[in-house]
Amino acid sequence: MTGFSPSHISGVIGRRSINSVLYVVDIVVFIVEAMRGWHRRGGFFNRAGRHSVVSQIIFSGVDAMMTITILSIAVGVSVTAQFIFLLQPFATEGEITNVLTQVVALELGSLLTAIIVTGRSSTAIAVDLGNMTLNQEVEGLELLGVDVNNFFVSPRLLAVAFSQLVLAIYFSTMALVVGITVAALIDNTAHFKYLFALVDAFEPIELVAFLIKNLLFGLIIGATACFHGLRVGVSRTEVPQETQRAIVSGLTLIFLMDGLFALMMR
Amino acid sequence: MSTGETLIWAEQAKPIYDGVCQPSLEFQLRPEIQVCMVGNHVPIMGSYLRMLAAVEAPCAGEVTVLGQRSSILDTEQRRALRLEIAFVAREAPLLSVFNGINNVKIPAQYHAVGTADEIEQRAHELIDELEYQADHGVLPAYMTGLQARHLAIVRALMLQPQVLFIDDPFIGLDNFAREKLGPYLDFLVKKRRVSIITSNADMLFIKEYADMVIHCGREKVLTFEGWDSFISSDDEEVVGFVTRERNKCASFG
Repeated sequence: MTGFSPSHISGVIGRRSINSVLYVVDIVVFIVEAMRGWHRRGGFFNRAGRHSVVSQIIFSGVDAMMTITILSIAVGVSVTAQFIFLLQPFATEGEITNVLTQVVALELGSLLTAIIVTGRSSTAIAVDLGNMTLNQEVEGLELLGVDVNNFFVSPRLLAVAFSQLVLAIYFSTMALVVGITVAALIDNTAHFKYLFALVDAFEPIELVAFLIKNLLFGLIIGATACFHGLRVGVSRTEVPQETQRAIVSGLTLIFLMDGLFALMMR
Repeated sequence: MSTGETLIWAEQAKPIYDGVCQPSLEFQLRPEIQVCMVGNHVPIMGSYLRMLAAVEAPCAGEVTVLGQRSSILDTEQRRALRLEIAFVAREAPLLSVFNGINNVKIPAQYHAVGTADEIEQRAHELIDELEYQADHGVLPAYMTGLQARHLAIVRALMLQPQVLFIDDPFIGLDNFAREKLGPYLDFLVKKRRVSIITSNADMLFIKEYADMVIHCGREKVLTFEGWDSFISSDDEEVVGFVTRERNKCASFG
């Protein structure tokens, strides 16, 4: 029964912990290397790189607008309006505004957007790069002097980070505006006061943290997707396996990062 | 490019394949010639091509490519060499998410070898050189083998290389495609003034167009000045290879 001995269990936990830390280090190094290469190659001034960034923004950002719109309306009705209904009898206007900014705008907006972007873009990028690696399309370009990091990775990282930020801002705004409007129309038009109160409710430091957090979320989504997509070797079975790893690792890192930000902002 | 200069010089150079150093190659590549590499073990020929193109360093000996010693090149220097020494991989996969024209333009755009208009113009000019009708605005999945192979070669030519390596240009192509692609490769050497090195199993092409033949045997690698020299070799491995190929195709004599 050595498999269940305390030393074996602690060994497994230890190895898993070390691997998790090493994985985070790998992802950070991967991002740094990609961005260094991008800078060397002329960044946004390189036509091929610019084309990749724009294409990825259209896919990750513009094409996701409809999904984000529907989800933000749903959250506005089911969360924002509910908060107002539930808290309004015993909480002050300032307290309600505080809950709406902290929970709906700064937390839910970022997290739900990151989940949607992961579901759409992370899977697409991982499958796309995985298949291209498998079919040796990546190698074909490398043999013509094209750096994988410059051409495939950094444009995707930048585009996903930018898309995540813009979509999160859009999501949060929509969820608040729709929720308050619904609450006002159903319950009491006086609830429109929260719209104006919200404008002054955000601290500059919170907005900066929101900005950094969403850019980091985007980088994590893009990096885990590219990292796992490029890890595909010679077998087709590796594509779904790496895609699943990209999603799970990406979401895990995002939630950890979100917790870290929440602790830092206290 | 001055005629008479040596573009690539392999001195007792040994590539590594599957962790093992292969027999050494002694070879000098002159400008504007067609070199065909033949042998029984296709992946090993690929490793010789990669070594000669300075994609990989030799495990022994030295390869000097355009005056640069391959064994001491770093990653960036190797990457920079690809502008002069282009390499078309086996089966030449184009990027599946770009259409034909965009595939052709990518490396040129990446390396900024001209303005947008110049790149566009050069792409169409190169594409028009192979005379057949095809829509190049479609994704690679909708292309014929000939079209995809042609565009992969054009993609490499967009960088205006002095030497073009092609790992088995005829693999998977039907006779019609071979009849189109063979003269095109000859045209590139004669008119575009590119030296071409291919790993090749098409004896008819080698007989008609090869200026040099490299035979990769199990024990040694031999170079020959043209078809006649190759076919009349009395080396045991070469004789065995030629006999096998002759049995497959009687027409090369």
